[in-house]
Amino acid sequence: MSAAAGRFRRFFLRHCSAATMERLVDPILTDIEIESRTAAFRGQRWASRWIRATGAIALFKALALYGWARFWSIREWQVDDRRVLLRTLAYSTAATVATILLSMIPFVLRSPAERAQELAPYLVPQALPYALAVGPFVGLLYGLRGRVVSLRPQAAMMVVVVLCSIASFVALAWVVPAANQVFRVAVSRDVWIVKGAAEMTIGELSAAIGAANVIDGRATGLAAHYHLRLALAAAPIVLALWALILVPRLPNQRLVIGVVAIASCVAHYNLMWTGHGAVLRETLPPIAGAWLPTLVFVAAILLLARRTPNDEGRTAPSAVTP
Amino acid sequence: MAARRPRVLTLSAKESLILQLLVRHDHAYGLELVSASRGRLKRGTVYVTLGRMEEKGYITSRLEDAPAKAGGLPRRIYTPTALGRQVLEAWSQPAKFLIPAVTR
Repeated sequence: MSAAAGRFRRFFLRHCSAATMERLVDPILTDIEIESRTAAFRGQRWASRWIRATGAIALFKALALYGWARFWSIREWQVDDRRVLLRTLAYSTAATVATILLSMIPFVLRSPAERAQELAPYLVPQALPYALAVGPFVGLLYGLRGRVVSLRPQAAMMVVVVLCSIASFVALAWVVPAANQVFRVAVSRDVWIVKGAAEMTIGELSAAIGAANVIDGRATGLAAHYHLRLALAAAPIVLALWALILVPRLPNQRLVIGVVAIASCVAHYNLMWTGHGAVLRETLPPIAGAWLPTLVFVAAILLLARRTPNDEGRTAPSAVTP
Repeated sequence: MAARRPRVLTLSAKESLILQLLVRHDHAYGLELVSASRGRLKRGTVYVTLGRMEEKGYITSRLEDAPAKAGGLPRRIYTPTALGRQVLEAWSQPAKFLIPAVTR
């Protein structure tokens, strides 16, 4: 075997399982090595190099395909991984529903019973974006606690979180504004009530910002709403990453995890409205104010990621190396 | 590597092509299949498919005796199993009946 192929093989030997070496790496390396040598033996030096180059690409492609297929094949998952994923999903769903219900309580308590019953459904879309951020965050903290967790359930949950983020964006861009407008019409009983910033879809908001900039250059309030929606749609991903960085560093105690979860959510919520307030007072530009919680949490994630958790054994090495 | 028979016997178009080539040549190595397929199989995917077929029990593999001129490197040679031949036969019968022009 040539020196380059030998280096390749040693590299893969360190990172791949015996089955992968036997099934993929060795057959590919051997076939390419022999083809390349045969070409070189015939005096076709460039053909030999070409075979090696395309062979290396083929090897990486094969490993990527194989790893991807095995990673997502539920049948290949260990029982513990499946259990952890189901547990995390169950906690996430419960926390999402609880957050929606909790965020509706102030309105329900303030309104007469009949009115509350009639208008409460319109509040669900409004509560949904933040609930989609808080739910998976709490689910990850409780679902992964005290476990040796492989990469599979974490990656699967991150896919769920990205889907939550997309759903949150769709809600914030189109569903929440429509629900807000219906709610206002229902409360005021005036079908011609003019839309405010919170009732505009993302497209209308963007157009209104453009128009306001042309007319008097005062689009701060509209821009604050626009960027807040984008930042809030990214919140599920930020909070999920925060949860993944916290899990190996927290003791396996429900109460402590609960306190950390509530403190994190309150901090995120307060930062969001602090940033929004600062934008409206024109002490911060709209984009900076809206993304303030994201910036703070990402800084905290990077800070914690640089430090090794006390209990290093909590996070298992990936069981899915192709 | 222990072959794991699937609950339902399935045969994708690529797997069928590989089985046809292996039945025709009796045995072959990965790149031999790629060149025999005339561009229908790619280097990057053929080994993954071969691995999957081995798991299904359609083919089996062994290391050939290393030829001296190749620097002592043994190639992995793939051979169709009886199950693989049966599955191919079962798959190609209705296909032959339905689309004779294609399978001829």
